Amino acid sequence: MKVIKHVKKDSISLVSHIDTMRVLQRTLVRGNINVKFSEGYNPHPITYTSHPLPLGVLSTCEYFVLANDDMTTDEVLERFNDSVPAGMKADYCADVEKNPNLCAKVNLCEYFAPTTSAIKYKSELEEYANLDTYEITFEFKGNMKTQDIAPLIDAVLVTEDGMYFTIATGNPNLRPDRLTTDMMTKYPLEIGSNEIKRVNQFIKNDDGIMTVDEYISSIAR
Amino acid sequence: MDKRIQKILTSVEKPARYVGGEFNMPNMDKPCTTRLCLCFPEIYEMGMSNIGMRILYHMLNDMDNIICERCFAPFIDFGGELLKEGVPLFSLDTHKSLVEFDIVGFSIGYEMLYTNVLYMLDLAGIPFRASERVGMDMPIIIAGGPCVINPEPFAELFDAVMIGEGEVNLKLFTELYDQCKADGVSREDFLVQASKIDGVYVPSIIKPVYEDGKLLPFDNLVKRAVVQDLDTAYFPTKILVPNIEITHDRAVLELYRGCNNGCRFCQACFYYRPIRSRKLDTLLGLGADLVAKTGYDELSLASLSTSDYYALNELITGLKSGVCSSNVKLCMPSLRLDTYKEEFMGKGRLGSITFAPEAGSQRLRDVINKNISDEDITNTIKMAIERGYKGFKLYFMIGLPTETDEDLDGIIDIINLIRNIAREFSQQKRPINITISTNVFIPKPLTPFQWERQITREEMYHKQDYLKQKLHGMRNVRYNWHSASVSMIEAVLARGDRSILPVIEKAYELGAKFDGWSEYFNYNTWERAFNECGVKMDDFVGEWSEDEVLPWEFIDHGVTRKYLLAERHKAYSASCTPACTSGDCRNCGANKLGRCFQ
Repeated sequence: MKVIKHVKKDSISLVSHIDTMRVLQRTLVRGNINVKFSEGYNPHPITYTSHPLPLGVLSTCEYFVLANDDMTTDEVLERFNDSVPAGMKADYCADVEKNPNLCAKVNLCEYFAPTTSAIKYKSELEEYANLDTYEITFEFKGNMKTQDIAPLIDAVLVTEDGMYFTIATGNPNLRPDRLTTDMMTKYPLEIGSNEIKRVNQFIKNDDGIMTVDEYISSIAR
Repeated sequence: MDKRIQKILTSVEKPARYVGGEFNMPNMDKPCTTRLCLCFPEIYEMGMSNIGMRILYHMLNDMDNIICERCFAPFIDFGGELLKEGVPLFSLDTHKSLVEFDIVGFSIGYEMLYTNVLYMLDLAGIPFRASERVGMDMPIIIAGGPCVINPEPFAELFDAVMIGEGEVNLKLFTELYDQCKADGVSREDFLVQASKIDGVYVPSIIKPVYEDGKLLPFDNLVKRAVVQDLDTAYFPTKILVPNIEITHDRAVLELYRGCNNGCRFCQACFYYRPIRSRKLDTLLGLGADLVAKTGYDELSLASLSTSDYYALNELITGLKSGVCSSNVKLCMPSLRLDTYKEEFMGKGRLGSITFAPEAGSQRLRDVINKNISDEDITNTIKMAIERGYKGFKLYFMIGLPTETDEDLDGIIDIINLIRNIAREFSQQKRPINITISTNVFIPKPLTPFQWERQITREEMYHKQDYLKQKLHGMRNVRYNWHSASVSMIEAVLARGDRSILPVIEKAYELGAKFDGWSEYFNYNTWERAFNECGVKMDDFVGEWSEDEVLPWEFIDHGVTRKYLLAERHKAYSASCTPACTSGDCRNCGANKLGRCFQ
């Protein structure tokens, strides 16, 4: 198995997860990157991704796993970068024995929202991570829904350049734009709609917390 | 990207429609002296599926000093937001507003898109009519695509109309513009020079003249431009690969242009003549190249009648043993019933198979020159059922010249034939599903039926109701029909003259756009537009005298009036004209534009 870490930026950030999967599969064909196919009635390439990125959110840390054991990591990385649309270039490729199952393991993601006005409200914004309970209301599939987001916010750190926040991903899940939208209703922050960026993915369990990069490095062959 | 555009993008459906960034995008930073924007008046998913757009976009970008970008009709939500935010319509590739281009070209493939052209011009802040743009610093606005067979209803919107194949006339037009721009030639003088290129129609130069309400014969003819040698003609393989799913999301291989068959209702058949093919080896090479450069896992074959390609068996075998040997699926289009062979049929778990008999009875099929016999239908259906197909989709037309209720009964007979054969030969326990679709016949320009009348809406409803009644209670048979109202407007727009443009403008003003979408089409809007402009629909859907000069007859499309008339007369005696592949040339006239069957 190969794990590719790639970015998702510019116009590609406006492509949905399901379309991104199709883009990645075509990248493999174009790049002549061998991938094993499932053996069912409709064979499809065996590939996995990390948690879907909400539409319009940028990322520097997306992971794409493919069933390939017969090419070197350098070869896969080179071919991938030659064949992927601009805005999805890969940083590294690692060789692992089996599917690292990142969707099941990753439960926290860190995002960055660029805004110079956040620093004025540093203490108020960072307090979001210490709330016991905090309900927000949002529209979901045409209905209004209420969610207690307090347990889903792990950390908020405000800097001169903007705000980093680490929130639950997977199940339970908090969309980053829902948090920033709520913050913007309370404080005059200027966070562009297409400027939030996922910068890190974490695996947190009883043993502690580690980044996905650290995890991949620990299981790489 | 403009912050206002960014803000809009995150609030609309499928924002990837508006931002480009696809794989294989040409270099937009190369040195450039002329910048074009190709516009398609439908949404991204439709426009990106259009093979003509693909060819011209890449051809222009491969030219020195030329950059070509794209723009598709913004869907209702995005268009509304653009207006609200005051953002003019922009191109996908570099997000430039349309007024910043030298040339803006519209590809118009369907009459019901005319209001979308106005919608796009409106969003771009470009005055609709060419006469309103005189003296303004505006791009040259041009049109092309199949609807230019009769460009008169929209002619006055454009500075020039490309008649024929863009690989020829659009290329020359762009080169001339580039030269004239460098030489500082005025817009008016450039258009005069451009009008001398074969296949370039400048509506401000050639104007129709009427006497006593009758159109007078034209002095100058505009000759349609055609590619002389298709085999060596430009065909891109390093094509854009959309990031979102589009309507025809696959690699497409164009086999040939033109059609042998000569069905008398079919505009494409006569328009795309002469018949020019790509060679087998060329196609095998292009197919492999397309898949390698795009990563598509489906390859489909395109032409007006794929089963008539001279080496189809060899092509299928070559593709299946080459590029389509593993994990790349070869998609066959719907094929003619008379030339269908077992090897064209699918394998494994089969769904439904599509055919277009067009008319139910043998007599009516002879009238329209659809050279398919009852025996062809029986044999092909039997073959498909034995092979394991679970359903049939059949396309018919209603309202064809000389049609009676007995001809409609022929459609029911074909359904019964399928059910009987299925009962006898099907290995499956499940019944065969049959879907029947009927379109209303529209007497389109440049066909032998161009003089015919279109049936009235009442007749359309009668025929649809007649079929519904006959099909009532038939299990596993579904009936779809095309809207009578849309067909009526489509006929008027297809056959209209310059008096139609005010109606199109009025309809747009009253809210008409995306008229090709049943959920947005509103007949009352159009009816009101016709009434307010004092134009009668009946003037354009009735039968025309053979002596009359028709609005599009200033164009030499190749096929002659004499040939079309002879075909019309043969239709009334239900006499067939065999396909061009059998026997001598029928002398339709297309040969004078380029050699058939190279």
